[in-house]
Amino acid sequence: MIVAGIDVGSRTTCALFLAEGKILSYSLIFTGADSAATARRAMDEALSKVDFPGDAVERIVATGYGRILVPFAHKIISEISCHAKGAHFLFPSVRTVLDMGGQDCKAIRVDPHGNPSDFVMNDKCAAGTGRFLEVMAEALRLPLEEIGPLSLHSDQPITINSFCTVFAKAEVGLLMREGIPKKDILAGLHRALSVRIFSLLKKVGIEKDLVITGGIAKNIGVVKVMEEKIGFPALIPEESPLVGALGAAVVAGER
Amino acid sequence: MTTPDLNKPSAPGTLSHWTEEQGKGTLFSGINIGTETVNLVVMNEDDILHAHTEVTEEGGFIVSQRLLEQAKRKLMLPAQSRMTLAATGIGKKTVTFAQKQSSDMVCHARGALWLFPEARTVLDIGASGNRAMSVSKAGKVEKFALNSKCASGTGSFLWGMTKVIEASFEEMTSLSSGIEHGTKISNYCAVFAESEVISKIHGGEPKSRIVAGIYDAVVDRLMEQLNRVGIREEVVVTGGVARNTGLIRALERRIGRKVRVPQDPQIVGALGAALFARVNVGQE
Repeated sequence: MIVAGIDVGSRTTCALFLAEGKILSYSLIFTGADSAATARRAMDEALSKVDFPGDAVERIVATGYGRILVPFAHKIISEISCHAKGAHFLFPSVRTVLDMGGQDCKAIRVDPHGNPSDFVMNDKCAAGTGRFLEVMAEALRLPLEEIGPLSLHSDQPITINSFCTVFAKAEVGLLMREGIPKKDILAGLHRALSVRIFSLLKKVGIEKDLVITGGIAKNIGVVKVMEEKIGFPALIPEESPLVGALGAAVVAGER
Repeated sequence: MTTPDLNKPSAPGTLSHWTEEQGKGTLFSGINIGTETVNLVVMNEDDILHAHTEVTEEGGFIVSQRLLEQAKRKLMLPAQSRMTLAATGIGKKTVTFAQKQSSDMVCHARGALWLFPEARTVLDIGASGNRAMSVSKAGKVEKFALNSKCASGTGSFLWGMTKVIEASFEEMTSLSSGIEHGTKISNYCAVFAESEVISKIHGGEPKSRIVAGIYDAVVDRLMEQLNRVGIREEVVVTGGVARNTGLIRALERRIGRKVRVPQDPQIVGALGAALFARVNVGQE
């Protein structure tokens, strides 16, 4: 049976085909103003990479921020469930998922069947989200992908006193004027962010294995500090941006 | 005219005698060393003679000396004259030559009451914080509530928005005038709210409604502090942000009453410190 999952996120949309426990193809595109049209485009692009027609797909499950607007979905499931299922598909030993993008940060406890058992999210304060680092990268005039690795070169992390992204950015400006090396400022910023992520995770409890997904998974600076805090290595899927759609497809295949 | 004994500024025959001969009366000063701004107020028994606000990163010790020198020149006092100085604000301890120190909040209440004797609620809106105080007739701070951790509801929130809207504070006031209900800004966080405003601008929402919505969002935050202390008349609003006429009007609409704003809303803490410097001098 061929099934599909679609994850319409605020920034990217992913469509993915699953059959007999294997990923057949997927597409990953930017979400446009029209979510329904984006979902259609994502499906078509994923279909273009396989040799079966669209009507061979038996069930389609949609998730994500724009899931309500996917007209051809058979079912609509929350991102939380799909993320848990997707992480579980990739790592059956997962019991905690940390998903952090540019707008929010989610901590999900997962049971041995891949169902979410507890969940907490921050989408109110930029300081505990990927946005915090995006703002700081801009303030330090560095590309986002460089700040994680650079932060690891520091052996004198600066303590950042402000909690708020706006105030921390001002603090960074002052530190730069004082001539403090960027790597030390970054080490402090990554630590500050990790403290917030850690306190969010503690609200659901941290049980091994921890899977990290979302944009933050690519930041080695955060991953390393988190691993120090939790005391064991985290699992990071290569297919990180696909986890939601993968989970949706897994649900589609469950009957 | 006897030469003042500069070792004992409060002793008879020294400064007070000197400045009375200059016709200014005994002088007192208050300096408020804040996180971003430093304020100085020089007053005599009855009036404020000099007030100065400066945004600076200089250390409190150095900037106090500089501002006092500047004040003396302006008031045409001899360079070696001294006046009782009280320091307040987060950096008050750096002003080691101050005769007295007083807590920032108490100075604020004191200053607000001197300007408006009927003040019973004081709302101070600064660049990186806001606070509300409920004050008694005698100047005691009975209740207070503050935010110093989050940019929402502070000058920083408005400052960020001026960049996004591409308008000055004054232009924001005129843009929003006459708009009773602005567009709703659903994000609490300044960073996310800025993105939301950018989307609204791209979506063609009129700037006038967006600015009104921005003021409403700030007022929402200020109400959190005001509701904690209770609103009793008269309500006095201080801090640099009080200069935003549009914001003050939005606040007045929300609380259903007029508020008082000092002519110079930033010097209230320093004024309170100067008033504190006045106490007890002349009794030695």
